Amino acid sequence: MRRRGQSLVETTLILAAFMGLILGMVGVGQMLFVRQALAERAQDAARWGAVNSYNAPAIRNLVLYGTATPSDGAIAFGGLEPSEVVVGNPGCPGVDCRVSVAIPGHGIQSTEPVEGF
Amino acid sequence: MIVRTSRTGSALIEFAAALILLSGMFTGIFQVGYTFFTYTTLVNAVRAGARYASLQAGNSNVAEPQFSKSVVNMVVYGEPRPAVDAKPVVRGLVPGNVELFLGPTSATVSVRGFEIDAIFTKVALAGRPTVTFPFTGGGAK
Repeated sequence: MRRRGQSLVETTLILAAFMGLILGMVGVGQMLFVRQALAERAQDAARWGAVNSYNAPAIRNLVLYGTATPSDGAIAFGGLEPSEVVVGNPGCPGVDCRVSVAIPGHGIQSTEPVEGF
Repeated sequence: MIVRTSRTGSALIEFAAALILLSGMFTGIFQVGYTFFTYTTLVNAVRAGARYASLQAGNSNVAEPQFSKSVVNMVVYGEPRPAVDAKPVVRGLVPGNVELFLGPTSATVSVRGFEIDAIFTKVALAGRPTVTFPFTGGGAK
């Protein structure tokens, strides 16, 4: 029985399977990280919007750049486009006034009630 | 005396043993990770609902059925008046799983009868997460 080269073949097989597994784990981890970071940004932006006077572009900037007043040429987080961030203040003015920040492409929805109505 | 020299089956047996161990390990890692992730999401959702209830309780509309509906929607969909096609924050979570209790000075929101579906197993949550927030009187005052 010929055995020369068998270990090479086995190594290749195992390496292919394990590489797929490891790369898959890295991919899922990366996806979860971006999702979590975006959810946190949406929540922070909604909170900011509820505390300060309503300013949709500033809220959108908080999600995209992490600041309400980004410098020129600032790079958006995760290559997010401004049109991907949906900002609104449904129920305002009124008792049910709230600030809503959504990133539909990532399945993120955050709502913060506005106090003082 | 019989001496067995055949080695052709040993690789298969080793592979089977390793597969059982490894698949068990990966399944366990997935279950714990997914359950923890989902539980954290639930805690955040329940907290958002309780906070909404504690702020809105200052308004006169507490007794209205829409109030408790809004609180429950806040937990399940992250929005008091969700779109018709809104997805729950956690797969399988329905408004019936959320319980709202309004005390004289506080609001308590709990998830009841919900099981985290981690594909290979289901994790039952015994009345958790539960969050109680005092009324902040942030409503019409």
